[in-house]
Amino acid sequence: MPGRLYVTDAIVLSRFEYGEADRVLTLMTPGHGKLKAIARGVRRPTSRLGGSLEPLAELRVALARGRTFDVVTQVSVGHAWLHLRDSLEATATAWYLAELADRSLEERNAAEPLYALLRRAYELLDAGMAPGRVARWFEMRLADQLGVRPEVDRCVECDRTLEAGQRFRWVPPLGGALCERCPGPPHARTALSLEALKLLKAYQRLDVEALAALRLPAAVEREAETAMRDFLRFSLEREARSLGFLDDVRVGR
Amino acid sequence: MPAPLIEPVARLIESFARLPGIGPKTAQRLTFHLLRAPEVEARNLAAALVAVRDEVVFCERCFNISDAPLCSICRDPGRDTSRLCVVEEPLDVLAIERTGEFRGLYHVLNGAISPIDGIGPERLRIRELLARADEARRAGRPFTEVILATNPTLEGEATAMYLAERLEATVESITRIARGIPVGGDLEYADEITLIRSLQGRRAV
Ligand SMILES: [Zn+2]
Ligand SMILES: [Zn+2]
Repeated sequence: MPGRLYVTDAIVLSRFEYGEADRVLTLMTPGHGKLKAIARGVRRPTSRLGGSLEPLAELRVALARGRTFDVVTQVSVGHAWLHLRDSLEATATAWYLAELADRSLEERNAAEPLYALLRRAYELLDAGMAPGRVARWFEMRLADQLGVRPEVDRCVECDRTLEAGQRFRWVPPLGGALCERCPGPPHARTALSLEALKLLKAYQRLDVEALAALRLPAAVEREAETAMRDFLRFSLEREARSLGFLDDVRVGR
Repeated sequence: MPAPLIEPVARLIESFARLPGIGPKTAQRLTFHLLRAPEVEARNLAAALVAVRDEVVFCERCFNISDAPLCSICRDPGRDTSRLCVVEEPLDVLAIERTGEFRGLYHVLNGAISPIDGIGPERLRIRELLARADEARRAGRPFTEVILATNPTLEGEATAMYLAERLEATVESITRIARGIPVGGDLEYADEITLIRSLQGRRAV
Protein backbone atom coordinates (compact mmCIF):
# COMPACT_ATOMS: atom_id res chain seq x y z
CA MET A 1 0.00 0.00 0.00
CA PRO A 2 1.55 3.32 -1.03
CA GLY A 3 2.15 5.76 1.80
CA ARG A 4 1.40 9.46 1.90
CA LEU A 5 2.66 11.38 -1.14
CA TYR A 6 4.71 14.54 -1.03
CA VAL A 7 6.63 16.66 -3.52
CA THR A 8 9.95 18.38 -2.93
CA ASP A 9 12.96 19.93 -4.64
CA ALA A 10 15.99 17.74 -4.21
CA ILE A 11 19.63 17.28 -5.15
CA VAL A 12 20.97 13.72 -5.30
CA LEU A 13 24.06 13.60 -3.09
CA SER A 14 24.96 9.96 -3.59
CA ARG A 15 23.38 6.66 -4.51
CA PHE A 16 24.01 2.97 -4.54
CA GLU A 17 22.66 0.09 -6.57
CA TYR A 18 20.06 -2.03 -4.92
CA GLY A 19 18.47 -5.24 -6.07
CA GLU A 20 18.23 -6.04 -9.74
CA ALA A 21 17.54 -2.62 -11.24
CA ASP A 22 16.87 -0.24 -8.34
CA ARG A 23 18.92 2.52 -6.77
CA VAL A 24 18.83 3.90 -3.27
CA LEU A 25 19.40 7.66 -3.34
CA THR A 26 20.57 10.03 -0.65
CA LEU A 27 18.58 13.16 -1.39
CA MET A 28 19.18 16.61 -0.01
CA THR A 29 16.00 18.63 0.27
CA PRO A 30 15.25 22.09 1.69
CA GLY A 31 12.34 21.04 3.89
CA HIS A 32 13.27 17.52 4.98
CA GLY A 33 17.05 17.75 5.04
CA LYS A 34 18.70 14.53 4.05
CA LEU A 35 16.60 11.51 3.23
CA LYS A 36 17.00 8.10 1.63
CA ALA A 37 14.65 7.13 -1.16
CA ILE A 38 14.41 4.15 -3.46
CA ALA A 39 13.96 4.50 -7.20
CA ARG A 40 12.69 1.26 -8.63
CA GLY A 41 13.80 -0.02 -12.00
CA VAL A 42 15.96 3.03 -12.79
CA ARG A 43 18.91 1.04 -14.05
CA ARG A 44 16.93 -0.31 -16.99
CA PRO A 45 17.52 1.75 -20.15
CA THR A 46 13.79 2.14 -20.67
CA SER A 47 13.14 3.54 -17.21
CA ARG A 48 11.27 6.82 -17.25
CA LEU A 49 13.05 7.96 -14.10
CA GLY A 50 16.57 6.87 -15.06
CA GLY A 51 18.51 9.77 -16.53
CA SER A 52 16.94 12.36 -14.25
CA LEU A 53 17.95 10.84 -10.95
CA GLU A 54 21.61 11.68 -11.31
CA PRO A 55 23.65 13.78 -8.90
CA LEU A 56 24.52 17.36 -9.88
CA ALA A 57 21.02 18.38 -10.85
CA GLU A 58 18.14 20.07 -9.07
CA LEU A 59 15.10 17.87 -9.29
CA ARG A 60 11.45 18.07 -8.48
CA VAL A 61 10.62 14.72 -6.94
CA ALA A 62 7.34 13.12 -5.90
CA LEU A 63 7.81 10.60 -3.09
CA ALA A 64 5.58 8.14 -1.27
CA ARG A 65 6.41 7.52 2.36
CA GLY A 66 7.71 4.01 2.86
CA ARG A 67 8.78 1.92 5.80
CA THR A 68 12.54 1.80 5.18
CA PHE A 69 12.90 4.18 2.25
CA ASP A 70 10.52 6.61 0.68
CA VAL A 71 9.69 5.64 -2.88
CA VAL A 72 10.29 7.92 -5.87
CA THR A 73 7.12 8.01 -7.94
CA GLN A 74 7.85 10.91 -10.31
CA VAL A 75 10.72 13.19 -11.14
CA SER A 76 11.43 16.15 -13.38
CA VAL A 77 14.63 18.10 -13.81
CA GLY A 78 14.67 21.73 -12.65
CA HIS A 79 18.32 22.54 -13.41
CA ALA A 80 20.69 20.07 -14.97
CA TRP A 81 23.96 22.09 -14.75
CA LEU A 82 25.37 20.24 -17.73
CA HIS A 83 28.33 22.60 -18.27
CA LEU A 84 29.53 21.64 -14.81
CA ARG A 85 29.58 17.97 -15.84
CA ASP A 86 31.65 18.75 -18.92
CA SER A 87 34.60 19.83 -16.77
CA LEU A 88 36.37 17.20 -14.73
CA GLU A 89 37.68 19.67 -12.16
CA ALA A 90 34.23 21.24 -11.72
CA THR A 91 32.68 17.77 -11.37
CA ALA A 92 35.29 16.69 -8.81
CA THR A 93 34.69 19.92 -6.88
CA ALA A 94 30.92 19.39 -6.98
CA TRP A 95 31.43 15.91 -5.55
CA TYR A 96 33.56 17.33 -2.76
CA LEU A 97 30.90 19.94 -1.91
CA ALA A 98 28.21 17.25 -1.94
CA GLU A 99 30.27 15.24 0.54
CA LEU A 100 30.69 18.26 2.82
CA ALA A 101 26.94 18.91 2.65
CA ASP A 102 26.20 15.25 3.33
CA ARG A 103 28.45 15.30 6.41
CA SER A 104 26.86 18.47 7.74
CA LEU A 105 23.26 17.38 7.34
CA GLU A 106 21.01 15.46 9.61
CA GLU A 107 18.32 13.13 8.34
CA ARG A 108 14.84 14.59 8.21
CA ASN A 109 15.87 17.96 9.59
CA ALA A 110 15.01 21.02 7.51
CA ALA A 111 18.07 22.48 5.83
CA GLU A 112 17.02 25.43 3.69
CA PRO A 113 20.24 27.48 4.06
CA LEU A 114 22.55 24.58 3.27
CA TYR A 115 20.38 23.52 0.35
CA ALA A 116 20.48 27.04 -1.05
CA LEU A 117 24.25 27.16 -0.54
CA LEU A 118 24.91 23.93 -2.43
CA ARG A 119 22.52 24.91 -5.19
CA ARG A 120 24.26 28.27 -5.61
CA ALA A 121 27.69 26.63 -5.63
CA TYR A 122 26.57 24.32 -8.45
CA GLU A 123 25.20 27.30 -10.36
CA LEU A 124 28.56 29.06 -10.03
CA LEU A 125 30.50 25.99 -11.15
CA ASP A 126 28.12 25.61 -14.07
CA ALA A 127 28.66 29.27 -15.00
CA GLY A 128 32.40 28.62 -15.18
CA MET A 129 33.68 30.27 -11.98
CA ALA A 130 37.08 28.86 -10.96
CA PRO A 131 36.30 25.66 -9.00
CA GLY A 132 38.82 26.53 -6.27
CA ARG A 133 37.14 29.88 -5.61
CA VAL A 134 33.69 28.26 -5.48
CA ALA A 135 35.01 25.64 -3.06
CA ARG A 136 36.56 28.22 -0.68
CA TRP A 137 33.42 30.38 -0.83
CA PHE A 138 31.30 27.30 -0.03
CA GLU A 139 33.59 26.14 2.77
CA MET A 140 33.55 29.56 4.44
CA ARG A 141 29.75 29.80 4.31
CA LEU A 142 29.37 26.21 5.44
CA ALA A 143 31.57 26.98 8.47
CA ASP A 144 29.26 29.93 9.20
CA GLN A 145 26.20 27.72 8.99
CA LEU A 146 27.81 25.15 11.28
CA GLY A 147 28.42 27.95 13.76
CA VAL A 148 32.21 27.74 13.56
CA ARG A 149 33.07 30.88 11.58
CA PRO A 150 36.89 31.02 11.40
CA GLU A 151 38.42 33.95 13.29
CA VAL A 152 40.56 35.97 10.87
CA ASP A 153 40.43 39.45 12.43
CA ARG A 154 41.60 38.93 15.99
CA CYS A 155 43.98 36.55 17.68
CA VAL A 156 42.01 33.54 18.91
CA GLU A 157 43.95 33.56 22.19
CA CYS A 158 44.58 37.19 23.25
CA ASP A 159 41.90 38.90 21.15
CA ARG A 160 44.32 41.54 19.79
CA THR A 161 43.62 42.74 16.27
CA LEU A 162 45.80 40.92 13.76
CA GLU A 163 47.90 43.56 12.02
CA ALA A 164 50.24 43.75 9.06
CA GLY A 165 53.88 43.31 10.00
CA GLN A 166 53.15 40.47 12.38
CA ARG A 167 53.50 36.77 11.86
CA PHE A 168 50.46 34.55 12.16
CA ARG A 169 49.73 30.92 12.66
CA TRP A 170 46.63 29.00 11.65
CA VAL A 171 45.22 26.86 14.46
CA PRO A 172 41.89 25.19 13.53
CA PRO A 173 41.37 23.62 16.99
CA LEU A 174 41.39 27.15 18.45
CA GLY A 175 39.07 28.44 15.73
CA GLY A 176 41.33 30.54 13.52
CA ALA A 177 44.46 32.69 13.46
CA LEU A 178 46.92 33.19 16.28
CA CYS A 179 49.21 36.20 16.76
CA GLU A 180 52.98 35.92 17.19
CA ARG A 181 52.86 36.80 20.87
CA CYS A 182 50.65 33.91 21.90
CA PRO A 183 52.21 30.47 22.33
CA GLY A 184 49.19 28.37 21.22
CA PRO A 185 49.25 24.58 21.35
CA PRO A 186 52.78 23.09 21.21
CA HIS A 187 52.42 21.44 17.81
CA ALA A 188 50.55 24.17 15.97
CA ARG A 189 53.22 25.52 13.66
CA THR A 190 51.32 26.24 10.46
CA ALA A 191 52.35 29.73 9.41
CA LEU A 192 49.84 31.87 7.59
CA SER A 193 50.99 34.73 5.37
CA LEU A 194 49.41 38.16 5.54
CA GLU A 195 48.16 37.72 1.95
CA ALA A 196 46.45 34.43 2.78
CA LEU A 197 44.90 35.98 5.90
CA LYS A 198 43.56 38.80 3.73
CA LEU A 199 42.16 36.30 1.27
CA LEU A 200 40.36 34.43 4.05
CA LYS A 201 38.87 37.76 5.16
CA ALA A 202 37.79 38.38 1.57
CA TYR A 203 35.99 35.03 1.52
CA GLN A 204 34.06 36.15 4.59
CA ARG A 205 33.23 39.61 3.32
CA LEU A 206 33.02 39.76 -0.45
CA ASP A 207 30.18 38.54 -2.61
CA VAL A 208 30.84 35.91 -5.26
CA GLU A 209 31.12 38.39 -8.13
CA ALA A 210 33.93 40.23 -6.35
CA LEU A 211 35.60 36.94 -5.39
CA ALA A 212 35.44 35.69 -8.96
CA ALA A 213 37.21 38.83 -10.14
CA LEU A 214 40.15 38.68 -7.69
CA ARG A 215 43.62 38.30 -9.21
CA LEU A 216 45.90 36.38 -6.88
CA PRO A 217 49.20 34.51 -6.94
CA ALA A 218 48.63 30.76 -7.02
CA ALA A 219 50.68 30.32 -3.83
CA VAL A 220 48.27 32.50 -1.83
CA GLU A 221 45.26 30.58 -3.13
CA ARG A 222 47.02 27.35 -2.15
CA GLU A 223 47.59 28.64 1.35
CA ALA A 224 43.95 29.62 1.77
CA GLU A 225 42.94 26.23 0.41
CA THR A 226 45.10 24.35 2.91
CA ALA A 227 43.85 26.57 5.74
CA MET A 228 40.17 25.99 4.94
CA ARG A 229 40.63 22.26 4.35
CA ASP A 230 42.39 21.91 7.69
CA PHE A 231 39.69 23.96 9.33
CA LEU A 232 36.85 21.83 7.94
CA ARG A 233 38.69 18.59 8.60
CA PHE A 234 38.84 19.64 12.21
CA SER A 235 35.21 20.86 12.34
CA LEU A 236 33.75 17.79 10.63
CA GLU A 237 36.21 15.48 12.41
CA ARG A 238 37.31 13.72 9.23
CA GLU A 239 39.03 14.40 5.93
CA ALA A 240 36.63 14.43 2.99
CA ARG A 241 37.13 11.28 0.93
CA SER A 242 36.57 13.05 -2.36
CA LEU A 243 39.57 15.37 -1.94
CA GLY A 244 41.97 12.73 -3.22
CA PHE A 245 40.29 12.64 -6.60
CA LEU A 246 40.04 16.43 -6.80
CA ASP A 247 43.78 16.74 -6.20
CA ASP A 248 44.49 13.95 -8.67
CA VAL A 249 42.47 15.74 -11.37
CA ARG A 250 44.33 19.00 -10.80
CA VAL A 251 47.79 17.40 -10.85
CA GLY A 252 46.97 15.95 -14.26
CA ARG A 253 46.90 19.34 -15.96
CA MET B 1 5.23 -15.53 16.91
CA PRO B 2 6.65 -17.90 14.29
CA ALA B 3 8.93 -20.70 15.49
CA PRO B 4 12.60 -19.75 15.18
CA LEU B 5 14.41 -21.29 12.22
CA ILE B 6 17.00 -23.94 12.88
CA GLU B 7 20.50 -22.64 12.43
CA PRO B 8 21.57 -24.13 9.01
CA VAL B 9 18.32 -22.90 7.44
CA ALA B 10 18.68 -19.43 8.88
CA ARG B 11 22.28 -19.31 7.70
CA LEU B 12 21.40 -20.19 4.10
CA ILE B 13 18.57 -17.66 4.00
CA GLU B 14 20.95 -15.02 5.25
CA SER B 15 23.57 -15.97 2.64
CA PHE B 16 21.06 -15.74 -0.20
CA ALA B 17 19.71 -12.45 1.08
CA ARG B 18 23.16 -10.89 0.80
CA LEU B 19 23.22 -11.46 -2.97
CA PRO B 20 22.30 -8.55 -5.24
CA GLY B 21 18.72 -8.65 -6.46
CA ILE B 22 17.54 -11.03 -3.74
CA GLY B 23 15.33 -9.80 -0.95
CA PRO B 24 14.49 -11.69 2.27
CA LYS B 25 11.36 -13.28 0.75
CA THR B 26 13.19 -14.63 -2.28
CA ALA B 27 15.98 -15.88 0.00
CA GLN B 28 13.44 -17.89 1.99
CA ARG B 29 11.82 -19.28 -1.14
CA LEU B 30 15.19 -20.41 -2.54
CA THR B 31 16.17 -22.02 0.73
CA PHE B 32 12.96 -24.00 1.07
CA HIS B 33 13.12 -24.98 -2.58
CA LEU B 34 16.55 -26.52 -1.99
CA LEU B 35 15.30 -28.35 1.10
CA ARG B 36 12.56 -30.03 -0.90
CA ALA B 37 14.56 -30.60 -4.11
CA PRO B 38 16.46 -33.84 -4.83
CA GLU B 39 19.73 -33.96 -2.97
CA VAL B 40 21.78 -33.88 -6.19
CA GLU B 41 20.42 -30.44 -7.04
CA ALA B 42 21.76 -28.94 -3.83
CA ARG B 43 25.09 -30.74 -4.21
CA ASN B 44 25.48 -29.48 -7.80
CA LEU B 45 24.79 -25.93 -6.68
CA ALA B 46 27.32 -26.20 -3.88
CA ALA B 47 29.95 -27.63 -6.24
CA ALA B 48 29.31 -24.88 -8.79
CA LEU B 49 29.72 -22.23 -6.10
CA VAL B 50 33.05 -23.66 -5.01
CA ALA B 51 34.25 -24.07 -8.61
CA VAL B 52 33.43 -20.49 -9.52
CA ARG B 53 35.71 -19.31 -6.74
CA ASP B 54 38.45 -21.89 -7.29
CA GLU B 55 38.63 -22.00 -11.06
CA VAL B 56 37.68 -18.54 -12.23
CA VAL B 57 40.36 -15.88 -12.17
CA PHE B 58 40.72 -12.41 -13.64
CA CYS B 59 42.60 -12.12 -16.92
CA GLU B 60 45.96 -10.59 -16.13
CA ARG B 61 45.84 -8.35 -19.21
CA CYS B 62 42.24 -7.13 -19.46
CA PHE B 63 40.79 -8.13 -16.05
CA ASN B 64 37.83 -9.88 -17.61
CA ILE B 65 36.79 -13.11 -15.89
CA SER B 66 38.79 -16.05 -17.19
CA ASP B 67 39.67 -19.71 -16.62
CA ALA B 68 43.34 -19.12 -17.47
CA PRO B 69 45.90 -16.36 -16.87
CA LEU B 70 44.79 -14.82 -20.20
CA CYS B 71 41.08 -14.80 -21.06
CA SER B 72 39.66 -16.34 -24.23
CA ILE B 73 39.38 -12.92 -25.91
CA CYS B 74 42.99 -11.93 -25.18
CA ARG B 75 44.11 -15.39 -26.41
CA ASP B 76 42.09 -15.26 -29.65
CA PRO B 77 44.50 -14.55 -32.58
CA GLY B 78 41.55 -13.39 -34.70
CA ARG B 79 40.87 -10.27 -32.60
CA ASP B 80 41.84 -6.80 -33.80
CA THR B 81 44.56 -5.85 -31.33
CA SER B 82 44.64 -2.22 -32.44
CA ARG B 83 41.27 -1.41 -30.88
CA LEU B 84 40.47 -1.41 -27.21
CA CYS B 85 37.09 -1.09 -25.53
CA VAL B 86 37.11 0.08 -21.91
CA VAL B 87 34.18 -1.06 -19.75
CA GLU B 88 33.26 -0.98 -16.05
CA GLU B 89 32.36 -4.64 -15.44
CA PRO B 90 32.83 -8.14 -16.93
CA LEU B 91 29.06 -8.18 -17.58
CA ASP B 92 29.56 -5.24 -19.96
CA VAL B 93 32.02 -7.34 -21.97
CA LEU B 94 29.34 -10.03 -22.29
CA ALA B 95 26.79 -7.44 -23.41
CA ILE B 96 29.07 -6.04 -26.12
CA GLU B 97 30.23 -9.49 -27.22
CA ARG B 98 26.61 -10.53 -27.75
CA THR B 99 26.25 -7.80 -30.37
CA GLY B 100 29.08 -9.22 -32.50
CA GLU B 101 29.85 -5.61 -33.55
CA PHE B 102 33.23 -5.29 -31.91
CA ARG B 103 36.24 -7.46 -32.74
CA GLY B 104 38.92 -5.69 -30.71
CA LEU B 105 40.15 -6.23 -27.16
CA TYR B 106 38.76 -5.11 -23.81
CA HIS B 107 39.88 -3.58 -20.58
CA VAL B 108 37.66 -4.05 -17.52
CA LEU B 109 38.05 -1.27 -14.95
CA ASN B 110 36.20 -3.04 -12.17
CA GLY B 111 33.90 -0.08 -11.48
CA ALA B 112 33.74 3.66 -12.03
CA ILE B 113 35.16 6.65 -10.19
CA SER B 114 32.91 7.73 -7.32
CA PRO B 115 34.91 9.92 -4.93
CA ILE B 116 32.01 10.44 -2.53
CA ASP B 117 32.06 6.66 -1.95
CA GLY B 118 35.81 6.65 -1.59
CA ILE B 119 36.39 5.14 -5.05
CA GLY B 120 39.18 7.04 -6.76
CA PRO B 121 41.18 6.04 -9.85
CA GLU B 122 43.61 4.05 -7.69
CA ARG B 123 40.82 1.63 -6.74
CA LEU B 124 40.17 0.75 -10.40
CA ARG B 125 42.32 -0.94 -13.05
CA ILE B 126 43.31 2.44 -14.46
CA ARG B 127 47.03 2.27 -13.81
CA GLU B 128 47.09 -1.05 -15.70
CA LEU B 129 45.16 0.50 -18.59
CA LEU B 130 47.58 3.41 -18.91
CA ALA B 131 50.52 1.01 -18.73
CA ARG B 132 48.93 -1.15 -21.41
CA ALA B 133 48.45 1.81 -23.75
CA ASP B 134 51.97 3.03 -23.09
CA GLU B 135 53.47 -0.39 -23.70
CA ALA B 136 51.64 -0.69 -27.03
CA ARG B 137 52.95 2.72 -28.08
CA ARG B 138 56.54 1.88 -27.11
CA ALA B 139 56.27 -1.34 -29.09
CA GLY B 140 55.41 0.78 -32.13
CA ARG B 141 51.83 -0.53 -32.26
CA PRO B 142 49.80 2.11 -30.45
CA PHE B 143 46.06 1.54 -30.15
CA THR B 144 44.40 3.19 -33.13
CA GLU B 145 41.19 3.57 -31.14
CA VAL B 146 40.23 3.35 -27.50
CA ILE B 147 36.47 3.23 -27.03
CA LEU B 148 35.34 4.50 -23.63
CA ALA B 149 32.24 2.41 -22.95
CA THR B 150 31.66 3.27 -19.30
CA ASN B 151 28.04 3.80 -18.25
CA PRO B 152 26.32 7.10 -19.11
CA THR B 153 26.03 7.95 -15.41
CA LEU B 154 27.82 10.80 -13.64
CA GLU B 155 30.43 8.29 -12.42
CA GLY B 156 30.85 6.69 -15.84
CA GLU B 157 31.15 10.07 -17.56
CA ALA B 158 33.71 11.34 -15.07
CA THR B 159 35.70 8.12 -15.49
CA ALA B 160 35.63 8.54 -19.28
CA MET B 161 36.77 12.19 -19.02
CA TYR B 162 39.57 11.22 -16.67
CA LEU B 163 40.73 8.42 -18.98
CA ALA B 164 40.51 10.64 -22.07
CA GLU B 165 42.91 13.11 -20.41
CA ARG B 166 45.36 10.44 -19.31
CA LEU B 167 45.34 8.45 -22.56
CA GLU B 168 45.66 11.39 -24.92
CA ALA B 169 49.41 11.13 -25.43
CA THR B 170 49.61 7.36 -25.87
CA VAL B 171 46.81 6.37 -28.26
CA GLU B 172 45.80 7.56 -31.73
CA SER B 173 42.13 8.23 -31.11
CA ILE B 174 39.74 8.12 -28.19
CA THR B 175 36.00 7.71 -28.70
CA ARG B 176 33.02 7.67 -26.36
CA ILE B 177 29.91 5.53 -26.91
CA ALA B 178 26.87 7.59 -27.91
CA ARG B 179 24.30 8.64 -25.33
CA GLY B 180 20.68 9.08 -26.15
CA ILE B 181 17.20 7.74 -26.57
CA PRO B 182 16.97 3.94 -26.31
CA VAL B 183 15.83 2.21 -29.50
CA GLY B 184 12.13 1.46 -29.18
CA GLY B 185 11.85 4.23 -26.61
CA ASP B 186 9.53 7.20 -26.86
CA LEU B 187 10.81 10.80 -26.95
CA GLU B 188 7.81 11.90 -24.95
CA TYR B 189 8.87 9.74 -22.03
CA ALA B 190 12.60 10.46 -22.14
CA ASP B 191 14.00 12.44 -19.23
CA GLU B 192 15.35 15.93 -19.92
CA ILE B 193 19.03 15.13 -19.39
CA THR B 194 18.89 12.24 -21.84
CA LEU B 195 17.09 14.44 -24.37
CA ILE B 196 19.66 17.23 -24.05
CA ARG B 197 22.52 14.77 -24.43
CA SER B 198 20.82 13.21 -27.47
CA LEU B 199 20.52 16.62 -29.10
CA GLN B 200 24.16 17.42 -28.30
CA GLY B 201 25.18 14.08 -29.81
CA ARG B 202 23.08 14.44 -32.97
CA ARG B 203 24.67 13.77 -36.33
CA ALA B 204 24.06 14.41 -40.00
CA VAL B 205 22.06 11.77 -41.87
ZN1 LIG C 1 47.55 36.58 20.58
ZN1 LIG D 1 41.78 -10.74 -21.25
